[in-house]
Amino acid sequence: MKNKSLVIMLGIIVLLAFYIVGVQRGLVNLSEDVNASWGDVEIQYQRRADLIPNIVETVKAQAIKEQEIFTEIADARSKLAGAATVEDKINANAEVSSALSRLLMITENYPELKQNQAFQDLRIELEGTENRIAVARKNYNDKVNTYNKKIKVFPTNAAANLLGYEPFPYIEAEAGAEKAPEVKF
Amino acid sequence: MRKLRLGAAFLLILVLMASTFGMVAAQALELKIPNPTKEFYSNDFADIINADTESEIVSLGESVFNSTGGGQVVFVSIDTLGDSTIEEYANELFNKWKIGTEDKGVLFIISMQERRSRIEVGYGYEGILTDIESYRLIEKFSQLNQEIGMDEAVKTIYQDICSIVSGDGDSVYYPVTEEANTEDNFFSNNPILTIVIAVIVLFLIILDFRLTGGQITYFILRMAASSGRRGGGGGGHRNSGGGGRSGGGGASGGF
Repeated sequence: MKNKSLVIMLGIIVLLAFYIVGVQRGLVNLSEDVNASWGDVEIQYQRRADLIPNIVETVKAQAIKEQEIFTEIADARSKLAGAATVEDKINANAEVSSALSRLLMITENYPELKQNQAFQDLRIELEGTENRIAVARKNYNDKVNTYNKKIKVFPTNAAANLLGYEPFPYIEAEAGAEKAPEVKF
Repeated sequence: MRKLRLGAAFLLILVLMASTFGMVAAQALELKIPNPTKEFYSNDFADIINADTESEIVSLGESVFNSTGGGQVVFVSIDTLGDSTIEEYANELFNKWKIGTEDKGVLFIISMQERRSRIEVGYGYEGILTDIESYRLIEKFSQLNQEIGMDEAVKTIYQDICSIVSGDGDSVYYPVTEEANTEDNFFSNNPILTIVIAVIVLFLIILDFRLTGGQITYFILRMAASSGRRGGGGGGHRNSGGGGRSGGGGASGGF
């Protein structure tokens, strides 16, 4: 009798171990998907960050009144440079994004800028980059959604907790930034 | 007693599982993307171009596929985007149809109700057809649409895209935007000089006809004409997607 229950206990433990290993394998795959799609997001973030100095230079050449926007952009960029975790990077990029869209709004008041060929091209590139960010962000959020569900939903949540898997942060689209900025001249 | 406990445990599992499925079912709503036509290269769902243009697009699309090693240029017209933006719609459609082999694909899409157009460029062509060129083509489309009508405008832009991906991008003409035109156009800023130059050119042409019978004039004209030509035709029957993906490259605009 005692022997029998021992065998049953052992059987359960072995089954549980198999199950946890299975969950772990699944989670590794899913988190790698998230990491890969995060890499795509970062590439596009970088692409945007690389455009900023050129845009700032072109706008500065026009001697605009609203000089404080340049400090704002500089602040956002230094935060971006200091961001280490995924969450920090997402937040820093949200700030860059809002500073940039404010700058673009200001430039609307300067018709000479709109006629500037270099500035036109930069705006088109920026628009294209924002759209690429939107695509990469959607893809990333989809992957995060799959992964987060897995680690939050019964019964895999127990195993995920045990193994120390944490949810990934979503990238929220900034208000009004879901649509790529429209280029109009 | 034991049976009761077992039953309770079973019930608990059932409830938890039900909640799991409930969460999975609450997915984001998908866009309704139509399937491509048999011809694949021309998908005139909004019925805005005539049959001749469609068949021209298809045969040009096939020849581009053959000459570029699997590159695909696809034209789509739709009635409405629904709730999505043209950027979302174009990207979704591009990736669903898998336009282009090794991501060498371009989608030229028009939505009639919203009057929006977009050129979506696959990863493989991002270096050849840049966002700026795409934007200029979208601008050109809008201008041509007003000047010579939808049918010709679609055909011209489709041909331009094909020229660019075939490595013949130099032959593509981009209209100068009006504002940029007034900004620093040599001729419009110097009306008197323009007239003087025109008179000199006219004088040279007359001189040319007097002396050589117009040989130089004809030579220049022939040069100008041949640079605008491009080849077409060709067979090939691979009328389906090549497996391409797009990450949102390209540009959009109104028309």
